[in-house]
Amino acid sequence: MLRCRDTMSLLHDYLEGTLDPDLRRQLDEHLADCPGCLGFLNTYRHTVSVAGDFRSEDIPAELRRKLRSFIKQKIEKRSLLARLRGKLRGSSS
Amino acid sequence: MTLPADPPQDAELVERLKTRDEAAVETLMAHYEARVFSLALRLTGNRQDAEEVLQDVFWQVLRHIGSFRGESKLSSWIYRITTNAALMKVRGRPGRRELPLEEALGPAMSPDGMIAEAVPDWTRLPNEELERKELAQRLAAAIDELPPDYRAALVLRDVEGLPAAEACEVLGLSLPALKSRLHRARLFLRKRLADYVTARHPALTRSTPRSDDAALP
Repeated sequence: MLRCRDTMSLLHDYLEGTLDPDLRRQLDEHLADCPGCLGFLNTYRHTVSVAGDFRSEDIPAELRRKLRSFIKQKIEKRSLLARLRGKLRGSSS
Repeated sequence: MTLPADPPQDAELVERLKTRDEAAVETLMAHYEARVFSLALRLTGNRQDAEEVLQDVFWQVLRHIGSFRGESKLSSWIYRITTNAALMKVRGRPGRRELPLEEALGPAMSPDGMIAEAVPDWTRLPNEELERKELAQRLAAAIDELPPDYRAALVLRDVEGLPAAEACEVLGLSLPALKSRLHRARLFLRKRLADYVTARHPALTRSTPRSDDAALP
């Protein structure tokens, strides 16, 4: 018989679908009979789901431009330095 | 037949990046910039910091691409650089260093291990009484309260949706260690939301539903 205290540490694996089938059955039975644990599971799951809302597939156009100009500048500076080093080596040999 | 444009093939892209091929640099940025920015923004909780992390990450990737051996996926490597750069920004800030223990983040228990208080199940409230947006605002504030290591586990898994194995690779953690951090972070956030909802809807703690009308998962 599962106690409420036992269910708390099973929530992660339960949502992940990685809980041992026998334990999962026991937890399902407990949840069917325990509104407190069911409420806890529902709100735990909902918290995870709302966190997913923060995922963004967008980036402001202005930031995209700034990033490109920053990287271009860095690459140019680096290749200029490399050319200068090459020249210095050439003139000293 | 058209081939999918995404994701770019790691090995080929990496080889082209090593020669500073301009089109490859653009492919890299176009494919990863939104993800890097989204991750940096949620880890730092600050737009200015996230912008700096974004630029820093792509420059680090280009500078160190020669040492990328392909032992992990390119995406995992980029996530790792992003996570490290973002956590550098937050580590010095004042804030929580630890989370309360698991027991303190769950409901009160009786000595025989059964729940001893009403658990407010806000998912049973109608949308007009509690908007998802409102909860999201509270959640953003609570994520900013998480200690950096817990925040990283939660953001990679629950916000960015990385599979557990990839999140472990990014954070250099074993699966049990990741699971433990993630679970405690979720418990902390759930508690923050529960406290907020309870203050707004005190009736929720008085009306524990009967088991026969509770929605089963």
